[in-house]
Amino acid sequence: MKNDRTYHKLKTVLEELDAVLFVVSRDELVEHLINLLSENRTTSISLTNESLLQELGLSTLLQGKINSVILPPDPSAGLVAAAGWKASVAETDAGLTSCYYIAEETGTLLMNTGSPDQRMVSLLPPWHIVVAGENQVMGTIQACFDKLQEEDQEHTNLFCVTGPSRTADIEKELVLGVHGPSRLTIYILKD
Amino acid sequence: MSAHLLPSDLKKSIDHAIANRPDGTLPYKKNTRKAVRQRNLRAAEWPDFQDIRRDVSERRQQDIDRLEELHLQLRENWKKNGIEVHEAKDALEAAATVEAIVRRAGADRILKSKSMLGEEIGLNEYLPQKGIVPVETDLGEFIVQLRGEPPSHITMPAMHLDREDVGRLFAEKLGVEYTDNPEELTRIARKVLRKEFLAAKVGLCGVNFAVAETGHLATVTNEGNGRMVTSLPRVVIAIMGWERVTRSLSELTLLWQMLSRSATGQRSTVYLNLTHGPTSDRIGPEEVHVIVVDNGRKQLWQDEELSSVLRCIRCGACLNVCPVYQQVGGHPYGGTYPGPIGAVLAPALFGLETAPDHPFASSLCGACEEICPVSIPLPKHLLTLRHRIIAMNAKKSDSLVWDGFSAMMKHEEFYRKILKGAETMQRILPQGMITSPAWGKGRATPRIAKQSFRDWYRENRGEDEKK
Repeated sequence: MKNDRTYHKLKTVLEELDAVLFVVSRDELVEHLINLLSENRTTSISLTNESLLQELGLSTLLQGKINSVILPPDPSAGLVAAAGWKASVAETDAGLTSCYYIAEETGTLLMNTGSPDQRMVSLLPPWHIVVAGENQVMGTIQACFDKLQEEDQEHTNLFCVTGPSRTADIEKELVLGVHGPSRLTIYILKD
Repeated sequence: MSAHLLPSDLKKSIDHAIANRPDGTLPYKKNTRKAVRQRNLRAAEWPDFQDIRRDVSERRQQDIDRLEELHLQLRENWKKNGIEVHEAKDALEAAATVEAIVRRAGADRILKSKSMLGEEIGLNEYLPQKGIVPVETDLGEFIVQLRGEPPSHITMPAMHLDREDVGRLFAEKLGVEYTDNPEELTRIARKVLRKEFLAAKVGLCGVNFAVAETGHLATVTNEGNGRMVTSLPRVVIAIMGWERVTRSLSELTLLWQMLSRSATGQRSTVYLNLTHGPTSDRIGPEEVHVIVVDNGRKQLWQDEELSSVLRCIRCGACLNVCPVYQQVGGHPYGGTYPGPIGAVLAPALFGLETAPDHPFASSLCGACEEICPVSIPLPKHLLTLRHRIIAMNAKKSDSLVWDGFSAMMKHEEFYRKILKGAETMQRILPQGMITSPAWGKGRATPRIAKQSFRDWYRENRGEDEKK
């Protein structure tokens, strides 16, 4: 049944936020993503170590197509390596992550900084790309947090993202991408 | 600490603001109207908005009632999560604690995300005196910091400026070419601040809510600077008002959405950052400090008539609908908190004598209470404060007059003598001398009759009565 979901509401909400939603199958993802990246002349991308991205084999698949693919440092690496990694993430054109859950009502992503690489990859590059499974889509923000607590996953640094970074501090005129990314693209993988 | 000195004469500062208003449409009027329109749009999206609002208000009050208990739970969780807790009883103690932490980290710069409490404790005045540079990273705060002035609104710090003001400021202070394009101006700020973020050793953020059940410190931003200052530096300092506690994550999500809808008319702000504690991953912060600031809050909590003002979630919606604020903006109020909430908070937190005119700067129209997402009865509080201020200012001479009046009314003989005396004085002294200066302006004081009715009656009808 889930395959029939159109995510019409989520799409509209995200459009209002200047974010983009694609609903694709697992097989379609890589081709779609690579096309999108090349259309945007993306030459560098940073990725997290999250299990969904690893399961999809994205780092290997992208390495052949994108000039520079930045992966998180080894957990045993020292402070210097971590600082060097942060600096190179900040230089990439796009950052690719997954998330815990997505709330349909508001277009909000619930994310985990317990996976520390997510914290930087979703924040420093000017474009944030998210890949999530259908089972990660919930109705409301409330439902996302309820689910998180059900799974006893709340005892970590957390954050929510609703659209690209924005400000209206000058004459209340909307400008995207103040400190965080100016673009947000979300892929939902059909079951 | 000039930023939080309140004006000694609010009337004068408001008169001055009105006399010096810019030509054309007032920026405060334009921007507040836009904010109210957006807020109303979002409120209308929830058909049962008023029920939700009532519910949130009640639950927020319950949290306030249980503050001591929630703080115990919170402290246990902070300890468990590895957060270092500091208590500050006033502004100076809070600022000195920040200074000590920055010094211990071997830093001389601190990257700040927007915090009204930071304004309240005068960080931007205190730290430079101690050789530490505070860098504001919220675009609006960055702008007003460059201008050397405090923010004029709780959620829109630079709303009193137009794009040309910002363009000239950046050209002068940052040495860039003049532009009045908001997008380009934002890019310039991004570039300047990005360098700062990546080099920062210490970051400081405010706390919208601390979650008792888990110990999370919740910070709400749209620009991403809140995430930057809590993610990139090795040492993170969070400053929170003592009343900013909520029971659970589930309660937080509701408060956050109410805050977003009321403040900027968003369904939710772009970012909600929930700091749990330090990390050992070499990527997140290694030290997380929280400074819990009292600065008048605990005393206010004991004040049965006014304590509901502690429900405030600092959305700024009451500023946007206030007919006084719309005319003059935030600066004439002085201090940290302008508008209706400021007119209550300033005297209630810092003492009646610090803001004796503020509760009177309101027409009591009630628009503030109507829009408040946590239903704070602001007009009622303004009246309570007016009563207290009048009682405080009641002069000795006032009470002498009333004591005399009371004695006169109680003793017939005395009363008649006074009246007789007043009649004589009125005839001898020039007109207008025995009258109230304010009330008597343009009014003639009625003449006291030469003969009192009692005397006349005794003389003319007294005989009849005896019969």
